[in-house]
Amino acid sequence: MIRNLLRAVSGAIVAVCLIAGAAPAVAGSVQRDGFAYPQGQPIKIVVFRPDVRVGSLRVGGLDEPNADWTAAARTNIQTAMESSPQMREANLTFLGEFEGEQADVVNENRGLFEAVAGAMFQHVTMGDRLPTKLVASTDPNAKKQYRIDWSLGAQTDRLREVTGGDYALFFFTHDSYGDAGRKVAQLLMAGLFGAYVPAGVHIGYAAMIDLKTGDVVWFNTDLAMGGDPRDAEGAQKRVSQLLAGFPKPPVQPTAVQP
Amino acid sequence: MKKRNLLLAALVLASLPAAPALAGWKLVPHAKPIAVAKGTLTVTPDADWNRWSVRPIKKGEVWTLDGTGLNEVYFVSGLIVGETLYRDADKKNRPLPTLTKGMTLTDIPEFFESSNRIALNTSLFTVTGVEPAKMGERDAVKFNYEYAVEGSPLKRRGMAIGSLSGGVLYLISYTAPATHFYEQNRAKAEAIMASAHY
Repeated sequence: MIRNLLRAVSGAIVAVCLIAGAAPAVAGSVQRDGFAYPQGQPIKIVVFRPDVRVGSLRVGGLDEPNADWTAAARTNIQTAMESSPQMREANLTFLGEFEGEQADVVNENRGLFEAVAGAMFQHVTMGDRLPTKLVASTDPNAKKQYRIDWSLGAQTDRLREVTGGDYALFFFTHDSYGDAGRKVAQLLMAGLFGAYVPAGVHIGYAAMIDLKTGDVVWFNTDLAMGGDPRDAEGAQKRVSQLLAGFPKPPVQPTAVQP
Repeated sequence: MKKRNLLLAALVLASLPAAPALAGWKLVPHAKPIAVAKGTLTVTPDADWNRWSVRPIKKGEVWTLDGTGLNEVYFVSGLIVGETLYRDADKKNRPLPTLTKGMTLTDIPEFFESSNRIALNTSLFTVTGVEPAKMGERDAVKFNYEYAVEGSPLKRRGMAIGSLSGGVLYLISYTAPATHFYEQNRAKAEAIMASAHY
């Protein structure tokens, strides 16, 4: 039951985002300790199709998907990514859909990535630290440091074979706009008690995986993303936020065909 | 009018999602015997683990290494007749099965499976092997399982050991994504199960 609650990163993020309410925005970009691109050789970074979900949020917190909004946001975000100066500078390669066994490998890893991202969100971004990740220190006054060592395992080498990439970027965004009932509740609570009811959910995360080792080498989350991905301009803002802190490759990667 | 507004506001408040407080975690050091789930079930892990301060049920306890969605050990110590393996989330429409009088070791895998089918809201849950085992000096049953949940392409695997004494259940399960994580930490979970006694 517990793993069910925490299994899907979207569910966990939405839940925490809803209760985070008026709290300061939770966001952060972290890199794996010691991460550096290999020098003196071309590297290939591939981008999986962004996972985009848009819906409406009911007064009771029910998150209802909206297929039209999702389709529009998916197209806008993909377009914004392909035209993003940050992405073009890094010469990233966008992957299309896969079929057959290749699709199975990609889907399996997409699911695994969601689970890993959910754990990183909880234990890194939200600060719900795991004691076994604490870095031992002999200095009693030293600030506590925790290892960021999450990995999908070396099995991601199969993704390397499928995509030809050295690194892979995953993106996820989830927007849920408050419906009329929720907006009424928002006004009611503010008027009667001065209490804050969050109008909706606007979250996203991005991560880069080293496909040789499966290690998550960069992870970026924001619980209060700006930009409405249902329109082109908003999608550009969203993409820019998703890429905040992205470690820019030192050399131009070569093109990769899916 | 004011009374009606307050009533309406109370209804709105009640319908808002509950705040899932951030959990706290405590270190479980390796090589030291520890009683789990507020009962007599005792284990000695061969690696450091993290223990969740939130208990799924009064007689339950959760440990993990990297996050419960990646590797989770669930302990139940001293479940009695009429109690459920997990907390009932929707008792009215989808009640969890309760431990029943006269249950034997061979009934444990089915009890575990039916509980998880409801708790996880999935029909894709399969027990893949059942064999006799020991929990300390007591007779036990060990089994493997796998499942998937709707909307996720991720398959999960697990293994569990359960024992009954005087109709009281003691159980340990280990669950992880089938890809990478299950095998990576299986030996650590097996060490916990092999050390268990009550």
